Amino acid sequence: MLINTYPLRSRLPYGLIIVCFALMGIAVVNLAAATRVGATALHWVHLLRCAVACGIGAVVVLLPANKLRQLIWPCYVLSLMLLVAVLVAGVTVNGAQRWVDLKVTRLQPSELAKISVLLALATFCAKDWPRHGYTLSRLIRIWALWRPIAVAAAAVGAVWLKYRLLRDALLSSWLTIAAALLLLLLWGLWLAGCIHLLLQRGWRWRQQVSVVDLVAAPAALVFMQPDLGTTLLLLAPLACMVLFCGVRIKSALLAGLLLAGLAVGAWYGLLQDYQKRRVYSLLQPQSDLRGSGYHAAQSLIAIGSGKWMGKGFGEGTQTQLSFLPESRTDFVLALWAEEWGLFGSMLVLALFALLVIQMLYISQHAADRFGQLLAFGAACLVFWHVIINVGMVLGLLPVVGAALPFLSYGGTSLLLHVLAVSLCVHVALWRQEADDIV
Amino acid sequence: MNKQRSYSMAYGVVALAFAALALRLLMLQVVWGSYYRQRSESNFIQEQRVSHTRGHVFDATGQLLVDNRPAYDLYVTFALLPKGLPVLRQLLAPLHYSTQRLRKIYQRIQQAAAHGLREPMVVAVGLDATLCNVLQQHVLSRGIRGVLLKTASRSIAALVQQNVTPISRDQQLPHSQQHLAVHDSSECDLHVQPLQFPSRQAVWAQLQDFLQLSQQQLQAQLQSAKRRSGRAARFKPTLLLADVGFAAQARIQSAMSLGTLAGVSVVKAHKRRYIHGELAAHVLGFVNEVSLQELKESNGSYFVGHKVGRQGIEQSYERVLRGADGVRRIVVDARGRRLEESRQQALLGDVRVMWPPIAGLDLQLSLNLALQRYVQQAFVGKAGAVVALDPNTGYVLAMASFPAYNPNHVVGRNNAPVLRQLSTDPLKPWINRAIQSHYPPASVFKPIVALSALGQGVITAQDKQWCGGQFTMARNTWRCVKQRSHGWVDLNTALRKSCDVYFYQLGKALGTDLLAKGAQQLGFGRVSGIDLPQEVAGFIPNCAYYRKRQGYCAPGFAINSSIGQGDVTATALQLAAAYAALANGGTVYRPQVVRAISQAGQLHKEYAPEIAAYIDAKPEDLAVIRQALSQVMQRGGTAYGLRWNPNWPQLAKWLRTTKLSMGAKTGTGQVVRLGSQRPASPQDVPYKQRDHAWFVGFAPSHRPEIVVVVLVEHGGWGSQAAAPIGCDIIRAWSQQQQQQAQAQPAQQQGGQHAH
Repeated sequence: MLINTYPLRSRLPYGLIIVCFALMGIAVVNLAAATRVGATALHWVHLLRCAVACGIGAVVVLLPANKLRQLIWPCYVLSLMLLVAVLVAGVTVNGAQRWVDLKVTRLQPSELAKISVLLALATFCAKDWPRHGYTLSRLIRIWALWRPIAVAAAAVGAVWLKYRLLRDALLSSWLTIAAALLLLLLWGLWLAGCIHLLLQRGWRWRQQVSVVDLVAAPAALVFMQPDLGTTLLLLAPLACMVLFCGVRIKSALLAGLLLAGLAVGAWYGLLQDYQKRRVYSLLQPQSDLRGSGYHAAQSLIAIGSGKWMGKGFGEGTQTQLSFLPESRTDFVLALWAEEWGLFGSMLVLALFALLVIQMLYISQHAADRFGQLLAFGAACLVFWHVIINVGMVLGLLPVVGAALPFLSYGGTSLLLHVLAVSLCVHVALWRQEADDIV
Repeated sequence: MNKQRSYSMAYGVVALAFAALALRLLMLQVVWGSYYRQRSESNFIQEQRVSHTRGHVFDATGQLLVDNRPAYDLYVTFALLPKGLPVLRQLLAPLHYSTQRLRKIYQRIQQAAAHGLREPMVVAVGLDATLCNVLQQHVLSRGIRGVLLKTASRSIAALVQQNVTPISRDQQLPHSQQHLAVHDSSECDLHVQPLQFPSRQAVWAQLQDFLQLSQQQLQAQLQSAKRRSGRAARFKPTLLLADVGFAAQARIQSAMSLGTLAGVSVVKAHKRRYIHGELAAHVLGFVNEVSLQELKESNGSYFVGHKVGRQGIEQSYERVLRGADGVRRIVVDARGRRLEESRQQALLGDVRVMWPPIAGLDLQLSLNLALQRYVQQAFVGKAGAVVALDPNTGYVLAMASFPAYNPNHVVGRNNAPVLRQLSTDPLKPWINRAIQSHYPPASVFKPIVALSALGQGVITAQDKQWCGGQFTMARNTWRCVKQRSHGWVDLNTALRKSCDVYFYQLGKALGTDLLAKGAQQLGFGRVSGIDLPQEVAGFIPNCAYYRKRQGYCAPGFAINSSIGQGDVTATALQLAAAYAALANGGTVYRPQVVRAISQAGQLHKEYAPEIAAYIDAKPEDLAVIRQALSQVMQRGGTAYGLRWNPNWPQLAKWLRTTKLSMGAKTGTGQVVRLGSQRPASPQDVPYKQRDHAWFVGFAPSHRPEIVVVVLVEHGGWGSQAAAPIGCDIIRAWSQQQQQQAQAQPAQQQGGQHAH
């Protein structure tokens, strides 16, 4: 247990904390520039949120390691419940149900799910760490009993939910009906196999759940909102973590082939043109409303027109004259780059790079597997957020809803990243202690 | 732990990814920075044309004839017109209506707006209190107009942010009243006022009301506006209606300031104003909107809505009168709204005007406003023309064609019926009869023939011919103007009494070609070159023409030509120019209407008198003819009777008393070949077959300063229909000269007194 404050001070990753506060400062300044148009002072709200998030972060940092581990699974279950709640009674914005109205503030459970999934993954993998890397069977655990049941439920649910979408495809010919019957037969065999194995080996929890399941459940719920960006951002740290733990090359190749084959087969074999279009609009609700090409073009204009030193604080015409949409949330970097030029955007980019590298460093020097995986996962989380958002803003990636860590206006997103950084700080702080224990 | 490779890979991936992003930033902000800076500027900078004013027109004495008055044009920007459906969707979001249902509701609102329904229509009834409050919040926070929440029990209207009418907006409502909502009642109904709720139909309905147009009229205007603007110009303001009038403009402006007319703008413009209406309409011409064909051919110097001069000097001096539009830059936001001054200043600096509009140059005409006005009043008859020239310069002192039109009505709003009426009028008011139609000159052509005969030595002034009332050659008989014989006539008498037989003999002696040559020398048979458009040349036949047409050139053709009949035609202006040459001693001037071009009072260019030709006539021959013409007004002349004409008592009295000597010639041009019996009175003949009445006069006869030509189309006898008008004009001119002569010494004396 940590008692002395002196070693705490000496072990604090000051660099990480300074970078974090620097980004928050930039966010407040930037939002102050964006506020000139609107009536409400966004930057003060953001500053308040920063304070609150830092408070929560401090609690996480100071929480003893064993207390934190006790909280992981309750958190995971809670966030799953919140995700279900948002589907049932969420607030719809831009065609997607993402927020839970808590009266005081609106919460975006999908953001919080990222953290709890991260924690769950870290603790799960720390125990489940395969000596020679993951195999495909270990990733999928195809003979878990609940697997065929879940697949059947998902199929029935999909048919029920998207009846119109799938009706024509499924009932279009006798051939497909025959195929369905065949599938049913295979499914029966699968179920029987699962029951046989369970009877043979006896019940063991870790035999029934895989790493992928931990992420797949919340990812599916987020995908149904629908929110492609967050789904990808949930899956990306998983992939990173699995890769970090190591994957057998054969398994990796096989998994890749399987996924690709499944996707291509579904796309060309199963779906009609109009159905594909529905899938498009399902995946990208915003594109229907305004056209994402406009977003991307205006974003590029904003960034490019900043040139070397930018147009100056509050002088960015793209934002001030509202040519740039979503200039406070997803496209906040364009606003910053327009007003501060290459100098400003490079500064922000460098800060993010420093942040990620320091988090990786903490992971590298963590005492135990849990800390290592947790810090690595947190680094991945921040890294992918930055890459996807900046790539989108710079016109390298398609426009998906993804906020920029720390800079975007939005409480839950801010809290998520403050928590990710806090967890790293936590790992750095408790390293010595763990060493003492071991 | 054996994880070092994983970490170095992770560091590598991070470094690579950030390097890629940094490279991309470098490309965007530095390599392509200027391009994107330009793109961002073209996002918010809009270049607007600033309309120029067309040049003014003054008369010779510096009085204004044409200027521009301020007018208001109504423009519409189709992309900025209100879109009601998204607003409705926002408003009704708490009710969770399906898109189809929303569409249906919106359609109903639009239909109601199109019919100009003022009373609110029900959209939803029996909403519970919480929903009411939520809706109320929506309405207030978004400032949606035209939404009423009525409590079901008491029907108190909830006021919506800004009120509807301008009056109640001025009387700022107390805050508590603005939020007068639905707190107490349990249920409420949602009503929408179709004319206030943002929709295209509401905008059209309001414009209909403001402009006093019917739905069909407005729709027709919209259609033509759309056609003119084209698909690409949805974001550009398109002219919907020009010159909406001050009252309509005021109402539209006030509605715009309330925000109910999104996408509509009123632009100040200039409208051509012809101050004296019909006065000199044919000389001035008018302006008209540029046609699509002309737009294409103009290579970008004209734009949609620009005006082009039609007819008169507006057409012939188009390049002078027309200036050039300026270009101004303004800052707009993403929705095309113009920013306030201070922010425009910050973004554009002081150079807002790229280049200022260049006003057109002013024209000074040679017309004399007072004389022109008198000409317009003095003319009697249905159709005809009057030209008054200064014989010593060729400047046109007055030119009028009848019937005239009022160019103000032609360029004005609602000009369609005016144009239709003018185009269908059988008297063809569009034509400038002074230059654009030609007539047989008849007897007024005789002095020209006489001059040729003298010049060719065919006769001398003293030679006498016998007039027996008719002339016979090769079994054809030509009658004289007088049934009885004129007896022995010399040149003087022949011109004074207008004896045809004398001239038949001249014609026979001269022959067609010599006659034509003499006439051409004086400018007949070709355009005079006046600076007005569409002048016609008239026609002087020669032997070559007859050989082509008939196969032979009979001497009889010259007989007809010798009295200005047959195939000879001339315009009033040609006659004026020819008589000016006779009167001034043999110089043919090119007639001119414009004396000078000036710019803001500064002389820019002056049009000096231009000599077209000298006629090779001996001065004594010219003197003989002038002498003869001056006796036309005297005893024994065809115009002598004017001195006792009861229809023109004032003129008659003036003629009896004046010392001014006038040269004159009357003419009666036959339109159709009549039978042996001349009708007793011209009224017995159908209008279209009546003779044209001519009068040419100049004064003073010894040193002429004015030549007047009067043509009364189908007016009958020249001495009766045209001569009084011409003499009256000369009288007015001479009285004007006298007044000026009196005024000038008085001024000089006054000046001396002041010393």
